[in-house]
Amino acid sequence: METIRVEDLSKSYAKTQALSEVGFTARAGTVLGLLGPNGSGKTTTVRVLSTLIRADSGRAWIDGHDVMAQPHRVRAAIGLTGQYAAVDDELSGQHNLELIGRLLGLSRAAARGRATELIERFRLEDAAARLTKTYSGGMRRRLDVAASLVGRPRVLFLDEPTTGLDPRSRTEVWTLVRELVADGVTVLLTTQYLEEADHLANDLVVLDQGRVVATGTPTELKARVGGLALQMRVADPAQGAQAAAYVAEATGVAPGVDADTGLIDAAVADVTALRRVAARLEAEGIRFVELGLRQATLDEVFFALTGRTARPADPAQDPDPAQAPDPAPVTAGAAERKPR
Amino acid sequence: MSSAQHSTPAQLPADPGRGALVSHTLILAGRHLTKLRAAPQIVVFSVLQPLIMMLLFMVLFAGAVSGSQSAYLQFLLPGMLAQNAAFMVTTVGQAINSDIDKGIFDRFRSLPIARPAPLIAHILGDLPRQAATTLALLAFGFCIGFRVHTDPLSVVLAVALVLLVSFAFSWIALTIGLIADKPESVNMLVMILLFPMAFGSNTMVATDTLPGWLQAWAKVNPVTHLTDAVRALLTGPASDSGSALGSTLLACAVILVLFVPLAVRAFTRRL
Repeated sequence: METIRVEDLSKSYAKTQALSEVGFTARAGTVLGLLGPNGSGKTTTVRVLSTLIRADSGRAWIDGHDVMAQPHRVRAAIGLTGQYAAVDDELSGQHNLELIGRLLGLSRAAARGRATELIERFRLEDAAARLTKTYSGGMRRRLDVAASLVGRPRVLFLDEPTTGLDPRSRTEVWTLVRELVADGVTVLLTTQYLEEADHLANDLVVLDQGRVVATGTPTELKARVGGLALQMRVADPAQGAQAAAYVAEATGVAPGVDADTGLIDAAVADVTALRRVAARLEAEGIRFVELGLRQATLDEVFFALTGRTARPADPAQDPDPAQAPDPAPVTAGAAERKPR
Repeated sequence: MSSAQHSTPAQLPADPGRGALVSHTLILAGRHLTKLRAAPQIVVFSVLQPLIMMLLFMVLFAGAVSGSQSAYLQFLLPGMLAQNAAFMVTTVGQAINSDIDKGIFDRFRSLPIARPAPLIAHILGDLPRQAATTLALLAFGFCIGFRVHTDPLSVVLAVALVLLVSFAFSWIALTIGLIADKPESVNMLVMILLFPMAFGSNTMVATDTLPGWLQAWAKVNPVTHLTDAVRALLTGPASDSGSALGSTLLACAVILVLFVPLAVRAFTRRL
């Protein structure tokens, strides 16, 4: 059964087309990952589906309720954790949760009980009575997720829930998502991290500039884009061009070569390309200082899916699309904040 | 998490209903009370600025206006109460803007609650602080020699009138809070709008001592009418407050008719 159904959603702002005919579905009790760089339309999609903004055209149903026509019923079925930890700094953690419970129609006692339950579940007992402005980033995020669960939602929206979190807090959020799904909750998760999508999502929708550029399971998508990158550097820079030619031969694509570092970089489908390159280099007597495989970055996935780099707005990005981006680990959790 | 049963969405009405607006607004306004109870010193900070201004004006203008400081205080305090009705609403705009900025507003709007509740709650929720600030200013006035020459009922009426005007002004601050791009700009924008009201009036000197063009403005300024009404209600004769009271109520009505729709519009435009 489809718990989320989205058909041809379009939304434009003064200058930008935020969404163009976006469509996808999510089955009950699964995690749907919306994957895309900043500005790709992930947050806009979440805001439309959680009734915060209206789409210009298209339709969407959450748990059988029309998002445009029955927003109140949709709100009763959903929980929303936005990009910012939306908790009141000047209230304690306990008070924040009680407030939501009261708004959802619980009695004082029931709201207190539900808040205590969630405080325990999210291991915030020691901090429950403290003002949330004293919380760490991870604690705030946990409280924020707890706040979106007060009403026991059937559908939970998590908009970049791990952006800016330390690895431990991120793992906690992942565990939580799995638990919720085990309880039958349908989760729509947006992320910039391929690794996160890979860990959590049953199905993926890849967005780019407001359009759906790919859908499928993580395995399917990785098969389509390779998902791996070969990376190497030769000992003698003079042999760089020669080595790059061998890489091109072995992988079938022209590799990116960094003029400064001599790093040669190419998307590959599997480990056999690595073996072929290694054998060839050995046969030709070219010594290398570095040779290995790494997981493809989101940029490379995007490049494979769209033929463009993922972050055109990033001035640090090399303008040449053939140039592979820096081999930063895909989990590099820099706290990127989008302008509202 | 226990997968305990909750009301299925199908049983839920398609809209929250009228009773919900009242209960949701009160619950959300209660958030402000919780904060006020947790940190009552907020009132001290709120009253500090008008207090300092009052003392300053007293020292600066007493000689020029009334000869003695105690005589001038009788004239000045009602004006300061009225002026503060404008100044003390800034927090309403800041609070709503900060809620929007932090995403708290989005959380409320994603809940199945009455739509205008978060908006109205910001106005109602700040009223207790405004009341406490007004009473504190009045109490301080007593301490430094201000004396009421009317009856307790008139004092209650004067305070109620100040709060009614601050309620109306709150909608102006709320509208600005909804439009401003960040909390820091709210303060400035509210000041730009409320400064002419606070100072282009008879709060510190009698209207007929002002230059002609300023008199014209002061005569339509709600703060002038409020000052007149509060002066009559506190220093007597209370029976003189009639026309000023009527003008003040009319001014409040005009502000509300203008700014309630503007605020609601700004609220829906932010979608």
